[in-house]
Amino acid sequence: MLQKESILLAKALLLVALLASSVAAQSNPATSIEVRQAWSRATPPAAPVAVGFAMIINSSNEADRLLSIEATISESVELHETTVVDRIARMRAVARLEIAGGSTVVLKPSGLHLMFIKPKAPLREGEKFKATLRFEKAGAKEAEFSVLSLGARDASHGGHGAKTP
Amino acid sequence: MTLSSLRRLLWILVAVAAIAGAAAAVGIIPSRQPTSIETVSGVAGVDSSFRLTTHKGAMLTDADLKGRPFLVFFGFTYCPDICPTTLMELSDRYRVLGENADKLTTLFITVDPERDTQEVLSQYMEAFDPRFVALRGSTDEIDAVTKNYKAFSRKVPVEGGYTMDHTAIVYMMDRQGRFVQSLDPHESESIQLAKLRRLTGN
Repeated sequence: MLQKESILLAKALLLVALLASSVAAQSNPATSIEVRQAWSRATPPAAPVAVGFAMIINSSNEADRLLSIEATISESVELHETTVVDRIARMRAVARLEIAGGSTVVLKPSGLHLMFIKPKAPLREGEKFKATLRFEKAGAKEAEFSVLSLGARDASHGGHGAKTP
Repeated sequence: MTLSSLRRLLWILVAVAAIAGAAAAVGIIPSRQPTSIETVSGVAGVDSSFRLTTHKGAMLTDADLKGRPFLVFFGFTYCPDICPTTLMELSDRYRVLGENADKLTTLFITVDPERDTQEVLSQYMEAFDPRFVALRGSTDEIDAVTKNYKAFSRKVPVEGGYTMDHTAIVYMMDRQGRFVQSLDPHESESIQLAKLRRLTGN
């Protein structure tokens, strides 16, 4: 009986050691931040701004910060947050976005978004473009943005497109 | 230390590790909650009068719309998210309503006439239903209209320029120019269509 428990305990301790080492491996800074499902919307003609949305996944144990964004499609890129409170829409620049260790921050409509200021050309549905997100610890991460329809609500489909039925 | 107390200590270690592991797993869940969008059931005392210039350069007043129900949305072209999606959603509703939407006028009033020139607006509106009308005026004229509609707009300085805070509802106005209710951006398509059909009398 006692021996059985000892074997079980040894196994449990081994499992803990294995898990701990895998967690330690994940916290390697080079692979701690991932930018996934990056998407944008087609812009109306003459629109001075375009948006970008994405999931930022921090799989390390440590918090990281998004410091800046670069893209060649527009004059500049900023991180903004839209809020709608009491029917009033407000948009403010977010200087630094912190992504806690082991968490995911989702940039999505009516929330956080990248704002591409003064795009060099209107974005058309079906196009793709790249942007580089620079993090304090994880460094530069390039993401490819898929341009969805002008009315798209999320990355999974074209949304309320203006296509003929 | 006896063997049994060592054993107990090691089991405690396993339990602590299990809890820590579970907590780390829970941490993977997105930390940000969806931003809530408030639903508005009514705005009291809306005065529908306006006198503004369309994106095609014509003068339009509320009197021109007498006998026609209409929708009003305040926004601006530097708004990357809410404004184009609202106008796109309305374009989709128009497409479904088809000819019935001819009985309706949709007005997009810019709260940023400084940057939203007639030229900018006329190009911008090409992305949406061609029946939509964008309106602009002087800053004073726009201020007067937002006041009439009990709407809010404010210029907010930001680094390198400014942005606009603005009321982001779609006003549904009846044939007499009375405010009926708002169209909420997060209502289902079927609810929005039912409300629009009621407004146009279909």
